Amino acid sequence: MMSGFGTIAMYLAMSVIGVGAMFLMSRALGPFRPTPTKATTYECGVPLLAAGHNRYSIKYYLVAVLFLIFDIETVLIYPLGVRYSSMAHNSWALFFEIFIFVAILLAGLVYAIKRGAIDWD
Amino acid sequence: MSDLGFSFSLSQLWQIAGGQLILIFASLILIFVDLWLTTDEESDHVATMGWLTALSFLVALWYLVHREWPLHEVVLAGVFSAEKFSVFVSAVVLLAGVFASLLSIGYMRNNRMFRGEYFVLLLFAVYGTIAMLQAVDLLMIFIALEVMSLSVYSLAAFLKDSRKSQEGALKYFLLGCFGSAFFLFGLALTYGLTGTVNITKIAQILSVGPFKHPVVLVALAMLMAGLFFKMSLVPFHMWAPDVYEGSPSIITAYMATAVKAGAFGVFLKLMSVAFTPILSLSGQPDFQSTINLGMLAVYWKPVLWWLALLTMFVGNLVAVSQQNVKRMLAYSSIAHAGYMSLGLLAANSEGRMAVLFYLVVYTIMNFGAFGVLFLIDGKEGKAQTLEDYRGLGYRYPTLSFLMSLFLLSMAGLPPTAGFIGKFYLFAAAIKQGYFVLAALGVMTCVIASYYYLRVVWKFYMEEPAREVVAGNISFVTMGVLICLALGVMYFGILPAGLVHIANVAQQSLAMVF
Repeated sequence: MMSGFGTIAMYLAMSVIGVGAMFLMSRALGPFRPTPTKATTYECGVPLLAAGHNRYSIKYYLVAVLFLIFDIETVLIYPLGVRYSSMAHNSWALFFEIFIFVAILLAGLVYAIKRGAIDWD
Repeated sequence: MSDLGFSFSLSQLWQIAGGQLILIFASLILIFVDLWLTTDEESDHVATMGWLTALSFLVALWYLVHREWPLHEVVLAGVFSAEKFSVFVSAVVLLAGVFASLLSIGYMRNNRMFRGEYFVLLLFAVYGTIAMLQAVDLLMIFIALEVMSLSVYSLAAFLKDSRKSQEGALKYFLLGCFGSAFFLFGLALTYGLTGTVNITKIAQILSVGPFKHPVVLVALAMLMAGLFFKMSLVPFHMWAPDVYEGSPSIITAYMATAVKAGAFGVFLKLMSVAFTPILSLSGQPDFQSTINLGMLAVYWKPVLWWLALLTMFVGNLVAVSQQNVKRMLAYSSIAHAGYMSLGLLAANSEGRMAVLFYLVVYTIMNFGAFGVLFLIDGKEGKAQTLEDYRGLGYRYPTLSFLMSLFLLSMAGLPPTAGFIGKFYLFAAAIKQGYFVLAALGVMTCVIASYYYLRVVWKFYMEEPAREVVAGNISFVTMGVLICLALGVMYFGILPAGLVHIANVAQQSLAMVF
């Protein structure tokens, strides 16, 4: 049991040391002459147009939340579909269980739509 | 039988997790009531939502406490249990929910903050806490902890126009995620060590198995760090003052009582079930396993000793220098968590009983103090400083009297419930031999009475500095506050009934698992 954790600890140590060493060595061995041009963000070679941090509409966030509803639905229905035949003695219970689950998620979707989550104006 | 290896039926589900089911149904219904209910007056809408929420809590509370729980069907599918301990703490949380929803009606009217989903989030928060308390499965504990935390994070941000509220909520969210991550890592390590997420089986495996290597200590430390964050014990308390000051006052009271009650309940359950040696069938402790699990206490008890001491001192000393009463109460809430951790440290039946008793008492007096605070405040943040409280005793005699009563109870003066609660906590610590800690704790109580009594002094002994107009005092708010005041007096004068119930509740931890 200890060896399992030991391996993980070793892996962590190696990755920290390895990455650290690479950074330090490139800094120590390579030439380092910064100029303002070199410090700018690389934008396909053309001069910089604007700051990288754009503000975008909060609507995207709501779309992401709506997507999550369907996403979670898929994630939970798939394993059920795969195991369904092996749980045949219990199939109706499982069917209703997943039905209740979908109904709850559907309620969330209806709520979000009624609140105006997909009213784009 | 499903292929999980647990028997499971709908009637069992309803028997064990009925309180949770009631809250889930209520929140699903109320979220649509909020959507489709049309009233002419926005404050009527809020009042309807508040009453319906309080009603749901009361129904769930009645369902939880009205019956004797048979011992043989106490665990549902290895996930939930309904022993008296979790029922007791769940009842405290539900009571906090009732107070919060009823006081919120008045709070929303004073702040012109008419948002129905506030109550639905409150339902989710209470549901999460109860599920966490009833869970006997580490994964379920974590999921429920997150349901509770996420709801409370968003409740803390409900004052949309207040920068303090937004700042506090963001701090709470970021640090809370950090705390949860620690907790989750602790759970993962425990699972890695034992191969099970069921707390009873963890105890069985730890009792016999080799666990002397330090990973079990790392797991325990991480579990404790995650829970101490929610309890706001001192090195983990940094978020608390800002969050408590910024949040809506009622939510502050809820966080300081129900969320802490949940964390204390889960800590007690984990410590007395998962990390306590199982007695062998003869009733005698297995020698080898007692040595091993006894060694665990050698490690975590000194840590908790220092945390309790630091929490009591830092909470009380910093509270002295606060000019804002809400912030002062935030630090006092940290200090109260310190007193309660004395009971955790004692880890005997008296200690567990004292913690349960104090949770009830603290919920009552904290909701009382924050209830009066938001009434005097009017609109959030208008009159919260000590200067504003000068001379209010003559302008608002009832409010000042109630506030004085709740603060005296927090200070722990004899005719009130706070005194009895503190008495049991310190008695439990002394019984277990923590004389120095108990003595130092009593000293911090003296510091605490300075800043509590200073508010009373401002009320009655000083001239008003400026005109303070309290918010609209509704019938409901006043009714709740008077009930809370009666509760403080009742448990101060006749504590025996509650002590008995708390004692029965803590015994169930040893009997069921």
